[in-house]
Amino acid sequence: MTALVEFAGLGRTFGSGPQAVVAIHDAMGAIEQDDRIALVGRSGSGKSTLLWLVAGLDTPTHGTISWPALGRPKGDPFLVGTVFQVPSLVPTLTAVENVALPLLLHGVAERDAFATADAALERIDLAAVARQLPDELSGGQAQRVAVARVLATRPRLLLADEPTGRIDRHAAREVLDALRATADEVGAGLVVASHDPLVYDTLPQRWTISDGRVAVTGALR
Amino acid sequence: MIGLWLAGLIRHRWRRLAAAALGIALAVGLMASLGSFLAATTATMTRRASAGVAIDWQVQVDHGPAAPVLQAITADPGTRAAVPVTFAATPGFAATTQGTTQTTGAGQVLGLPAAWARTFPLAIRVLTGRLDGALVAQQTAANLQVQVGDTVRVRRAGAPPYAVRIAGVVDLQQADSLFQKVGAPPQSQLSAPPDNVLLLPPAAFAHAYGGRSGVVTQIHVRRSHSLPADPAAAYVSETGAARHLELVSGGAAVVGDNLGSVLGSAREDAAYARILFLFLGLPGAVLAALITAAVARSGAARRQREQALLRSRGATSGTLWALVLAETVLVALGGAVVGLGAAAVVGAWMFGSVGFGAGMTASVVWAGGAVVAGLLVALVSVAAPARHEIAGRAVARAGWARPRWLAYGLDLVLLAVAAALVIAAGRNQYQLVLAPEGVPSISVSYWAFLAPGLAWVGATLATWRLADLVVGPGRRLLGRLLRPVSAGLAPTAALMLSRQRSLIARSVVLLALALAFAISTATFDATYRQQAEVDAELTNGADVTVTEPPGSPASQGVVQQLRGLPGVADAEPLLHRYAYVGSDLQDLYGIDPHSISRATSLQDAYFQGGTADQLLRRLATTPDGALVSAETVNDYQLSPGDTLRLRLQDQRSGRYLRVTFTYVGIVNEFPTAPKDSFIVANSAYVAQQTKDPSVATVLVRTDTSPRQVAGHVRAVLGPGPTVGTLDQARGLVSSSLTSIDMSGLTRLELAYAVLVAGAAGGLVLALSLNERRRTVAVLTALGARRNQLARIAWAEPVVVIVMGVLAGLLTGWGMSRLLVTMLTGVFDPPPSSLAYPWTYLATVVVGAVLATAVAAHQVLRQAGRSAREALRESLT
Repeated sequence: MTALVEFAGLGRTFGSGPQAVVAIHDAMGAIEQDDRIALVGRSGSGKSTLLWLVAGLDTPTHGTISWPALGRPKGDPFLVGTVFQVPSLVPTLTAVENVALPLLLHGVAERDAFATADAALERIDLAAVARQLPDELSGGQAQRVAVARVLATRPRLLLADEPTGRIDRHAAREVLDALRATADEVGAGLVVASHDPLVYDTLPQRWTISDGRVAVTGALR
Repeated sequence: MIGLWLAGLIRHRWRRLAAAALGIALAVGLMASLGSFLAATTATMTRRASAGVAIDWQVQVDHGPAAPVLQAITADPGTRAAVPVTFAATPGFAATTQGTTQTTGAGQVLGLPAAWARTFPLAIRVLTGRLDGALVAQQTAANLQVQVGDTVRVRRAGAPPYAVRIAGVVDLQQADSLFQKVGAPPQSQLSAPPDNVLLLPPAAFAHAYGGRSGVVTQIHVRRSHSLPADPAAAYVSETGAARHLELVSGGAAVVGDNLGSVLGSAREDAAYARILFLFLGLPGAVLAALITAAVARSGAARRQREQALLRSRGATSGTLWALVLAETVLVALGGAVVGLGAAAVVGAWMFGSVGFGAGMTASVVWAGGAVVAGLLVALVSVAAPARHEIAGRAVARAGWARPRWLAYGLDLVLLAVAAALVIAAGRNQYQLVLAPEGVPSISVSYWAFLAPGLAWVGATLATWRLADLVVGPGRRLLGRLLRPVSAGLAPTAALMLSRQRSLIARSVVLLALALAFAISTATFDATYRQQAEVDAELTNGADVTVTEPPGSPASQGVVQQLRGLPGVADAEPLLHRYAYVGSDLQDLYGIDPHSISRATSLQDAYFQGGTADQLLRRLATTPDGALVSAETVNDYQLSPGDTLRLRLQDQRSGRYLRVTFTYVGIVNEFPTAPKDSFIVANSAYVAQQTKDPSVATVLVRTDTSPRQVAGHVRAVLGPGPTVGTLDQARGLVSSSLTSIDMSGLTRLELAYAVLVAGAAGGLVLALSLNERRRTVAVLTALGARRNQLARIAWAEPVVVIVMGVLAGLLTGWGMSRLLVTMLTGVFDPPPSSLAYPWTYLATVVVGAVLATAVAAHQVLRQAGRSAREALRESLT
């Protein structure tokens, strides 16, 4: 199976000279379509940095990274879908409009974009809140809308950065279920960065990151 | 705790604090600067008004000897000089020159000591001859056809005529007040001074009238002009002194208080200056408050987060209030200090004073008032919105909430009430200030302020309604209109804007208000300057006016000679004759209606029943046509086309000839003409009928400095003619408010308007867009390309700029018309059209648009950094 992402000797340093902060140090790994990975580490350990590098939204300062099965995914939500720590919804758009937004940005016709968005929300039981603004949603609902937005673009790789960080236990479980179901449905690789035990109890693989060094510590499938 | 909190705010939120303090500084600075202007203006009014009075007091001795009254006047500490003058009425004068005898109607003979002319130099001007001897007034000399050296016989009731040799011909410059009925109410005063006047030395007067009844003694007094700077205080002080004299003289003296009278007018002008402050300054201060409020409001989310954090750490409501108030006071004091400092600098630069008032007390009151106003603005804009946050309630979503007044049509109601008030004020000829003579207090019709006040509020709300309508229900149309900016993303951009309709409406309103303020202020100032120039030109006649001495009029050749001088754009002759209309002697001006406008500006307001062009055309097409004053039309019940039979003097024979004119229209004012009745006719017809084409005055339009041209004229024509310039006239026009130099206020307000427009356009939108960083960050994270980001993000600035500029232009135009209409009393003469300073207006609009565009670009540039940084920042 062709890897979605491969990286070796990957490094990311912020700043320079004595002020330089090494966020990722000599990381090596690969992600495939059926991977379900929990990226575990303390706050500031480099989880988010690694995810951004993998998503192609940031550029490494050392090493190499490639996306053999994705081409160059830089910011393309049809290739890499990202769910952030806080619901990254546009506050002035309703749930369904937020879900349709990446489609509209990529030139999908308005009618088609909204049909897809409605279907995505329905798929994860959010049809009832489709016309509500983000401020009117609970934290868990908003995070699930972000998951639905990923579902709508059917990406090949799904990344989530602390998606349960600011929501309660019940909502966190719903979000994780939604992420897994989405990954399974579209056949995407899934990486969830978190220090929440629920995450690494739920996902079969675990990568541990500490001081920017990545190690495979959990069971492999 | 509070100190720590403030230190943290200053370190980490200094930009937002500085922006709020800047808003306060603008409000405080404007108010304090206007205080400086008022102080400087009112002091100028007092000084200029008192400087223009020829004779301060005319104390008439009603009964008993004059000596005790003179003694009482001299004893008054405010008296600088006192000169007794005697008046006697005569049935007429007669003179025989070149074999013919001319006579006049009733007149006045005055006995003037030699000191009189020295003490009251503004009262008399020698035209020919010298002062030591019998002097004849200019008009009387013309009537009698006498010159220096001729003999005039003074007819006396019950006695033979008294003959005197004329030593000089003079102009009595303030004849109206010199021949006033002392102590009589205004409605009983003479409508015009006597046409025939002879001035005699005391000895000659005693010889002619000694021991005769009917001689009136007046003591003319020059008063100290060290008066309180405020015209109202000066008026009270001066009229009080006059009444005191009447009291101590035991009723023997009645004071004709000319100084008090002009100070009365000056206090009226001062009241108008205060009205100007309220009309022009207050909207600016309110606008600054609105900008501050917008700045403060854009930080509400931040404050809410911080307060939630403090609450979770155990802070009570009291502690939260203390912190909010500390922030408020910090912003208010910072703004007040900067504002007062700026006002002091502006005051020193423009008005020559760093004080904000006429005296120390007034300065303290103005400065204190400005600071208190700044504190109030800060309380309303910073502290008041925090009450929801402190009470733990959710802050209403500014972008979504729809004001209730929209449903009630409050904006339309306010505009309708404002229109009704304007109409009501119009019925009173927009008389906002009433300063009854002899009454210390003046009445200002403050209710009239409601009209512009309501119009401002109504226009603001109407702008809000319009923006709400376009961005809300008009979203689909807006989507189509945004296509040039947002291309295929236009519907999405319109959708996002529709969810922030209140925020968009707020930005539109602020930009529109700032522009409207700039436009209305600039247009008012330009119109004011235009009318001041018109007033000066009306007084002088043209840029340069050449007046020939009586008895030696110029020929048409002089006009040609003047046209050839460097700097002269055109020169037009003005014939001057005296004409009897019934028994009333009036000035008659002969003009060429085809070309007179080349040398002087004729305003529509000078004429009645048509524009200046129309009436001049009417005169041009009627060779024997005559324009007469409204008073004459009323007195003689004239209708257009009526024949006027006037008696004009034939220059050669001196006899009065009957000349027929056709009444074609009404003229109220004309360059060089007196305020009372006069006639304007075709010069060719006048010259033909009087067999005399000689020119009394030449009006000269210059295309360079009038002073320079006046120099050339004097060099060519010699010392004979009087050469007056527009610059001199500006200094002479002292009774009206338009004489006050508004250039300082103009510069101040215009600079302020540019600042406010820039602040409204740039600062508010920058802060507003800053709140949109999260949206930009999310779009970036979703893979939006730079051009897609720009298409969505530029939609808001473009909508704000287009709607703000359109609403601002419309509101500014409407408010300019309203202000000029309501403040008609400020203008003399009333303007026939508004003056628009196009360059300045274009600068303000372009400045506001640029400030908005630069702010939007800056915010978008920052937001367009790496998606990661943007998203992380937006989420903290």
